[in-house]
Amino acid sequence: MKPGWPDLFDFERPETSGERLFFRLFELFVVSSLLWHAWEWATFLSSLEAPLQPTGLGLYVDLSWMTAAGRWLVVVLGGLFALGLGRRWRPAYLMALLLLHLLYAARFSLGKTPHGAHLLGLMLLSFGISALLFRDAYAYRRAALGFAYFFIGLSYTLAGISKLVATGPAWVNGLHLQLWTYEKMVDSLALTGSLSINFLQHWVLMQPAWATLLLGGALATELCAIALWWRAFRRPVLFALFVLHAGIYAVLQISFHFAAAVLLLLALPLDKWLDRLLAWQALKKLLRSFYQRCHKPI
Amino acid sequence: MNPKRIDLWLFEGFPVTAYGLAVYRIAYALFVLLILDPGHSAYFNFRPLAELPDSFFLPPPGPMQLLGGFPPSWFFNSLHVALDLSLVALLLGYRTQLASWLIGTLFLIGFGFLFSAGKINHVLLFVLLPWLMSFTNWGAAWSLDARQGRTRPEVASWPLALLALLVGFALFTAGFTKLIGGWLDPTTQATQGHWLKQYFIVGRQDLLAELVTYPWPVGLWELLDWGTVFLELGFLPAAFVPRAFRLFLAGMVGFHLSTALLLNITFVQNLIVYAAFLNWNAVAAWLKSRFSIRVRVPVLPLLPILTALFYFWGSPLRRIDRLATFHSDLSLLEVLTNALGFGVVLVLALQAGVRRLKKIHFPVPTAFLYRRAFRGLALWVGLYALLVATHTGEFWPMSVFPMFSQAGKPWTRIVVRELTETDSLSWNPIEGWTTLPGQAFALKPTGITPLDLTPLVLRAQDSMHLATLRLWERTYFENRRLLVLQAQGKLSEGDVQVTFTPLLLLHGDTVIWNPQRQP
Repeated sequence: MKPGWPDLFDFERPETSGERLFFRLFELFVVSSLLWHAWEWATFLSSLEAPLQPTGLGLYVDLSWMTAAGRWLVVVLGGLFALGLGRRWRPAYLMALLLLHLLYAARFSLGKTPHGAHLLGLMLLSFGISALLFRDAYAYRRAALGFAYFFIGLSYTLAGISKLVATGPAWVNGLHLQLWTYEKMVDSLALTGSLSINFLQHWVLMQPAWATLLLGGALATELCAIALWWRAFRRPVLFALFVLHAGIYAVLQISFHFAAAVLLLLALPLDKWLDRLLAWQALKKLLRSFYQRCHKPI
Repeated sequence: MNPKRIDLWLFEGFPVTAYGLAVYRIAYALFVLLILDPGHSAYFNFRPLAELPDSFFLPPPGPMQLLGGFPPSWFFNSLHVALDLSLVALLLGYRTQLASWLIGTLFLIGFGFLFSAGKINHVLLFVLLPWLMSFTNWGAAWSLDARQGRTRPEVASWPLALLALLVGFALFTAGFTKLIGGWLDPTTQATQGHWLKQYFIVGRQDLLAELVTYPWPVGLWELLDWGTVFLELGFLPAAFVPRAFRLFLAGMVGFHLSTALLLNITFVQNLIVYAAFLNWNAVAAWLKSRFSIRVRVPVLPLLPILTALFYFWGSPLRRIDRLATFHSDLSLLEVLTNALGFGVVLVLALQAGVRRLKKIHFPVPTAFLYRRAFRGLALWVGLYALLVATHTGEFWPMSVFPMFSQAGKPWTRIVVRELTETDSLSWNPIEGWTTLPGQAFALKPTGITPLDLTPLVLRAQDSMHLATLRLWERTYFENRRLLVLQAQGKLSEGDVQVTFTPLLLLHGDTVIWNPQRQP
């Protein structure tokens, strides 16, 4: 019986060695990337006297102590990640998520909340829920990836719906992209002190019709992201989302590198490639034993 | 700790077999003779001490203080003959116990004199090793002692537990001094400081040492500082968990390779100490399955021959050093040994990983798993909706992802320009990019992004925001005249219009507001 989301979890399909190895590497990537983010946030926090307008749980809990202790939290976080990776304590990932939430709430307390680390956080949430629900390592891995696909589909579709709710179908008007392109050019001027424009930005500013086409494609991709809940559409949708991020980076210079990396890792058939690599090792072993048998003295 | 657990750790934590110990004994003797090369390599040659005047004899607290100066050269020559003889005896398993004790004692005497000349190197683990291993009875197999019936067949594993404790304690003390010495202080970068000293002052500029001159982020340096301290401190508790201890040793092998490549400092003698914890039993079993080791020729004559060869000519592997010349005191053989050690660690890690992956798995009934996953998902979707709905769409990492949802909306950003003393101050709005006053000013080196600065400035009427803004300005740019402009973009008649309006001027403790924006 497969109630609900048959294609998300895939529990009945036997797991290959490549899938196991891929999951381990993916888990390691997510955890190490979040640790890096946490360090960056803690480092910034140490330069603040106190968080000004914290978000999330920061609305209820005083986070001023984090300006001094942020780096120690990163150490604790490292310990929790080690426990999570080693499957030593099942709530470890969710506890780590809580600490990361507090760090984020304190770090981005100046008014603007960027979305660069949200997807990584959702991946950690997926690991955390799975670890809590499943003791069995196989079920944990399958469920974690299922939850990850679910949250990716949900988040991008929500982003598309937000656009339709806030602006309506006219969101795709190319003039909007031109306005944002100028905004990002001003940001670039503020950040680096110089103004430079690449070919794609030039093209967007010169051709509103192409800009409209780009926005239309972006909105359609986001709205279709929910399709990745079904296995048949998963890879194309993940690739399309990756291309969407590449386009955003090229035109608006907004770097969602970690989110793009997560999408690419999940889009590529890395598990199958790893299976081939492992099979190749076995083949080498086989060839060696064959060679030894052939050269056995009679 | 539970006494049973102590017994378990002490006597069964690091299991040994007679053949496994024999392989390690041979490996140790070969490592010392071929890689460390006593009497010929720079750090293991005691002969030059005889040339030093007695005024150079400054022994640290200990038995060396009973002596008045360096002994003559015949003493050190005899010491090296005895050392080579003992090492070859250990290799062949001839009078193994005696040879082990002699090696430890002779090294201790040699290093005692060497350290009395000033510089103290950290070789104690390597010196103590043969003493400790003699208690395991590592001459019980594949030795002349075994062939001649001079030894008992029983072996003991507790000396390895003791060695683990000694390694753990030695590295813990190294980590502890770093801990109390301020290595964890985020405002200073100890690794960078040491590396810069080695590079510029000591002149260790080989291999990857130049990387220190690159502008690495502070976070990376801190990561190295903290990583080093925690790796070293962690050794002591890890000594009580054999599996964790081996992982720490693997990390340490990588650490030594990195110090060789980056700081041009090698601790090659430590590698053979860490190697005591390799699975030599498996190596011996593999050797026994592949080769039929039956030595029928007399081996004892090799003892004086090999001793003479090593004494007069040293290790043949030292010839490798001629292939590359370093500006520092590195030797190619040592670097290659470090790399080889790391290679062994990688191969072992790969082997362990593949072995784990190949484990056959039988999935549990799937209906239960689906039900559980679905319920969990439903719970979290509900929680997601609740948290996002009650927190204006944002509860990291959950969000409605509203970025760019309000298209066509005018935007406001902040740009900072630096004014010189001669630049006049005007509050008039500016259309276009090319006529901005003063010089370009980049926020990037300050570590604050335009995204952070924009809300800070726009809410600067609020005293707390203003205080933060002034603190930022004072911290980074005291005595600079910074003009903060508000950039506004909007759609106007089918086109985009960008206007820059000067908002305020920051100069030390002074804030001059645009009269029309005065709070």
